[in-house]
Amino acid sequence: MKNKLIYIVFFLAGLWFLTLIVSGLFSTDVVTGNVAIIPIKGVILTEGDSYLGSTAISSNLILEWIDKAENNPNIKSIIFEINSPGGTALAGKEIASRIKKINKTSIAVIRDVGASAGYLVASATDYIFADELSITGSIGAVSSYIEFSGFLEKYNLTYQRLASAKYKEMGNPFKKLSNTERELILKQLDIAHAYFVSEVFENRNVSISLLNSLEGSFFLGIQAKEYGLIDDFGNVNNAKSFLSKKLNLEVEAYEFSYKKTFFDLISNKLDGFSINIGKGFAFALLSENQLRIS
Amino acid sequence: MSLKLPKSRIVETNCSLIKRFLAFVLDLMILDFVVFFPMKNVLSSLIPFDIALSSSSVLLGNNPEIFNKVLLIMLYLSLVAVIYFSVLEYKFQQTIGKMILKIYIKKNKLSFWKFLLSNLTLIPVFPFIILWVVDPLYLFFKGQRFMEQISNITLVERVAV
Repeated sequence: MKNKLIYIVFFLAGLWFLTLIVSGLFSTDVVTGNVAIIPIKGVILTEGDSYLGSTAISSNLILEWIDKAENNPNIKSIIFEINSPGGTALAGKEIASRIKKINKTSIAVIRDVGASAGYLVASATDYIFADELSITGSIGAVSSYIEFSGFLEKYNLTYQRLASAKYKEMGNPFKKLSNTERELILKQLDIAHAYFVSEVFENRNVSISLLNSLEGSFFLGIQAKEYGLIDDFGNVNNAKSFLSKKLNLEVEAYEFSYKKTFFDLISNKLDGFSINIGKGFAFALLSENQLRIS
Repeated sequence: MSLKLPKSRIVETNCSLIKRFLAFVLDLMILDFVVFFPMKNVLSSLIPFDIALSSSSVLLGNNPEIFNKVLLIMLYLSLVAVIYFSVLEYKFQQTIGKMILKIYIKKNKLSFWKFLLSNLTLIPVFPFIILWVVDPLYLFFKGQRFMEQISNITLVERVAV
């Protein structure tokens, strides 16, 4: 009888342990808690996780996380933890448009930087927290690039322009930008700027004249609050307390995180490696130039 | 004057439906509270327990990923239940519920596979799910589950006559 009892206890314990292990396999990417935290860190792109050696975040991934959080009835609110200097216009717009469709309370918390496309994303949320010293704003569009035409000329290299249309190669860094081309590009940037301004006006109800007067500059959190670009000073904990009061719930946060695969790690290393090769070439040329001067 | 009555005999008879049902409920409770316990958190994070059934069906319909996970978890839990019943019945002719209700499987030198076969009813996928209807009906009319009949398993209890 005693042996039977011992056998049954061990048998049940074995099944329990097996279930514990299996439950671990199922819970790997299960969204738990009642508040989801979505980190938006680095340059915002539509795809990829690195940009010229810097960390980047893809809008596709952010949209996927938003869908997961929104479809989970346990999740009552989403906090976007932003630490981004900006990104491509489309990537920022995709995320901002999706945030506006969320039927749960959305909050942005700007850390070091939440500028340009990063701010566009923040402006789409219901409430924005930032630190007094956070950098934000930078409402506008840029398309600056380094022109190599002088460099090619100096080293007696010829760029053979073969294009089917007059403006087909507009913005190519190996050729000089003509005045007409410059005007055309600036016109596109003006359109993007106007879109950005109208979006912020719609999202934040900040007057268009004020937004235009800011001339695309960035601000510290203190100034941003004065202009109405943010709602309050604070960090993620302040956002949690805010939600706790607003939704009358004990916040249990679930933070989404990007799990890098082995391929991603290799790819990032190669990116950095390529940039260092480029830097090496640049420094070699610079030294040669300096030698000539001397 | 003392009466010379015949001594009472202990005989094995088919067990009553109520005892069988209670033993099954007890076994399910043991499985639920002990064995399935680690999976509860995962399940509650996938489908909140406090939402209405209609809401959970909408949730599963809108999220194929969650639906697939729930299906896999159900399949796993049913397999654990099959193992629980088969191993204990094979080893001791009784599960814990049957021990409490003092019913057991008639000794018949059956292989483990026969026990496994008789418990396939617990798997909630096609075609086994058909047995969810066939087994109880068979039990009601014949006093034995259909899968028990196939596996030559007889559930009995001892009564004094």
